[in-house]
Amino acid sequence: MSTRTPLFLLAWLLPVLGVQAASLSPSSLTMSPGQVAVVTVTNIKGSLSMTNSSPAVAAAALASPRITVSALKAGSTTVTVRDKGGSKSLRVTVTAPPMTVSPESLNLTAGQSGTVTVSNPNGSVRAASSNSSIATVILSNNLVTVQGKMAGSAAITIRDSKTSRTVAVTVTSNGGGGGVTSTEGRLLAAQCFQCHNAKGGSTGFDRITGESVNEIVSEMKEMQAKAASEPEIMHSQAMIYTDAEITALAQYLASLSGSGSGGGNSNGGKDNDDD
Amino acid sequence: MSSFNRRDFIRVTGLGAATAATGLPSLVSKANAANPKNVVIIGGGFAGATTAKYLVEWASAEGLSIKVTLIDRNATYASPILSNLVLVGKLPETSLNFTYAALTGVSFVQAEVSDIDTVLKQVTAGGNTYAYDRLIVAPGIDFLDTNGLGAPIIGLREAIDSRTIIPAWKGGTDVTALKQQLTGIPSGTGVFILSIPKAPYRCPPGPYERACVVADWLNQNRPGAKVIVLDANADITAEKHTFSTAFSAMGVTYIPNAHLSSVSYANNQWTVIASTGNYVANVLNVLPRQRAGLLLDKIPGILNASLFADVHALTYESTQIPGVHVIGDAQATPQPKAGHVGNGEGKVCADAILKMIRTNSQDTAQYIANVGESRIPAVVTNSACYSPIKASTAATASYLTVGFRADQSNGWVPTKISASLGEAPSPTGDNWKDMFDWAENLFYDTFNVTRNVG
Ligand SMILES: Cc1cc2nc3c(=O)[nH]c(=O)nc-3n(C[C@H](O)[C@H](O)[C@H](O)COP(=O)(O)OP(=O)(O)OC[C@H]3O[C@@H](n4cnc5c(N)ncnc54)[C@H](O)[C@@H]3O)c2cc1C
Ligand code: HEC
Repeated sequence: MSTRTPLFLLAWLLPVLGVQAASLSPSSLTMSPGQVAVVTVTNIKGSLSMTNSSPAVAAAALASPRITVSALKAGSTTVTVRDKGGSKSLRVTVTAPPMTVSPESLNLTAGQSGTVTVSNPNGSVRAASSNSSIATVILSNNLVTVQGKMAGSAAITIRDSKTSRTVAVTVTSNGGGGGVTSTEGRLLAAQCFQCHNAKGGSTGFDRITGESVNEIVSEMKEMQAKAASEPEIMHSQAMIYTDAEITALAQYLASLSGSGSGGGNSNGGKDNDDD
Repeated sequence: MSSFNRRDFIRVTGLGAATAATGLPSLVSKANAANPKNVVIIGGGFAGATTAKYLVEWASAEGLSIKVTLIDRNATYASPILSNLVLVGKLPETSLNFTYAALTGVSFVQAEVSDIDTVLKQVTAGGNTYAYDRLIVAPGIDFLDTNGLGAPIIGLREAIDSRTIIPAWKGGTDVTALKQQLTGIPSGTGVFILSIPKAPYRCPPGPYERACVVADWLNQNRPGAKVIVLDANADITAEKHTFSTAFSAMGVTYIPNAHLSSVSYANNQWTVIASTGNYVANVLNVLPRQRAGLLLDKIPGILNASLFADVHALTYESTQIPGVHVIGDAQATPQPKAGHVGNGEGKVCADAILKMIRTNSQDTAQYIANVGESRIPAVVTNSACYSPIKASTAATASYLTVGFRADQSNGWVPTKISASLGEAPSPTGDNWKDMFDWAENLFYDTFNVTRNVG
């Protein structure tokens, strides 16, 4: 054991004695094409030389004590410096830039189209919509055309061989047929069904299906007119609704087939009720 | 170098099924036949059952595939509506019972919900787990032990637990049990005390209606016995004209601002100590202060300081917990806590949920953005209560109705449409008949069951 100590000590002392190779800072590089980096060489003993294994990937120019590395294309190269103390290697990795898409989100109205540009694709590009009833995609020459179909959110996923990018698409209704189907009349009319049965089966007040839009609208207007002078629950009910709402709910009620509706009160609703 | 940040993470995982487990919003969930959305509803009262019914009906009309699961602890629902007529022997208790069998397309589960996990999006009931995309909670109300001043009412909890005080505010067997107490009241000196809690409570006219039909029953069956109403509110909270007129006609003593501090039973009678004085009674019917159903304690953060749930009236989605909708008595909008309007809230909620599914909207804010706020029509609901006033002979009833509108201009807060506020000028026999037509329709509209009650 005691005979080994001096050897160990010697190995430990070598750097201090200055018998080691030069140092590189940084000691490795990851770059994308077009980028330039400067590496500093320190602790140079004597003259410094340099070799570059793949100059097509990155060019390296030595101007002691600095090496200027210019990234050229995807790949890797090893730049080696040598002096009296030995050699040191610099690993340079040049990665292709990831594909990017622009913009990363789109707001469209139903029926409207927008485009997304794809930059730096690697290999072939594909594009898909998460919900093609909300937005569809067509890809041509690195240009993605997105068309809004109906209100909602969809994600457009654009992929190349390496990367996947997502474009968030928000489609708002255009107020017409392209948006969410309006259920305004249906929902308003449903607020009558607590009192006027919609499908029959129970007794109750007069049926309100099987009438025309005009009939319902004019009855509602008549009942509104009576609200102040003749207090009745239905007159108050009629006062709830705007003209536009009355039209919407009347259209829905008129569209319901009268068959089966109010079947239980075909003989007069409340007036014939025995309790 | 990598720009793989959290945003990308959400987007990328959003493509897979991992979102349910991470609880992160997915931009890309799809509603189609292969992957129907799960809507779970807890509570099959007027609000929950209506939502289940209309979700199924409207989804099928729209060709949208969804799975609707309705969970209730009871296989049979007992309607509180009309239950005061069970109390005075006008209707058999069973005439107000409903099952869910006629709600075609709804899968009904009878189980007590023991856990709700809003991160994993699942409900545990009866040892089974139900995953949901959207959850609707409609548990109705539960009771508090405090009076209108926030002080505890000594003796109340024990009396309710031992069923010596029976609120009978949830329908069913409790009503029959209270009826038995009522029939024990002696003629001559008998006293029935009804204690009304500070608003908000279920069915604003309901307590006054109870005072009337009980007073009418006593007048007919226990001459000389009387009703004392101890109201924690400063005045009659609904149909004041109707009820104050009926109270004087029937000999009901009405005491406002009465906050109970203790109730105790000794020597066959109740002693009530209240801020307005001490009272004795043969039957003490305390309607305790109310809060959203205890079920909501399983969703931390969903209740406001008044122990009801704040919701966005466009969708009835909680303003606090996305993905959870609260309807009926448990929610905190200014609409009355009542079954007719709860049924209406259920329809609004069902309609909104179908649209949220269609537009891939994860929450109300996204739904509004997707559809465009100015394009969303006003949400209109209405409340209607029919109150029996006199049920014995020459029966009469009153009504109270009002509409509510929520739209962009009022920040989607349901707001009373004052021109539509209507109440019966006086109780009539026609209203008594209408009351049954209305209730039968409401029952049908909610449970798909045809029932001749009246
Ligand atoms: C005397 C009286 C008269 C009334 N008159 C009228 C009237 O004229 N008009 C009107 O509109 N309203 C009236 N009401 C009010 C009406 O009954 C209530 O507002 C209505 O029942 C509330 O409906 P809901 O669906 O919110 O709750 P509920 O009807 O209470 O239903 C809640 C359901 O949730 C279930 N549940 C709760 N917790 C759990 C759990 N942990 N697990 C599983 N299931 C659970 C319960 O079993 C219950 O079935 C009256 C009420 C009373 C008492
Ligand atoms: C609170 C219960 C209630 C609600 C809710 C209600 N109605 Fe009525 N309605 C009545 C009553 C009661 C009558 C009169 C009794 C009868 O049917 O003869 C009536 C009568 C009518 C009539 C008149 C029939 C006639 O021949 O004169 C029409 C039309 C009508 N309602 C339409 C509606 C529409 C539309 C809605 C919903 C927007 C609605 N009602 C909501 C209770 C209600």
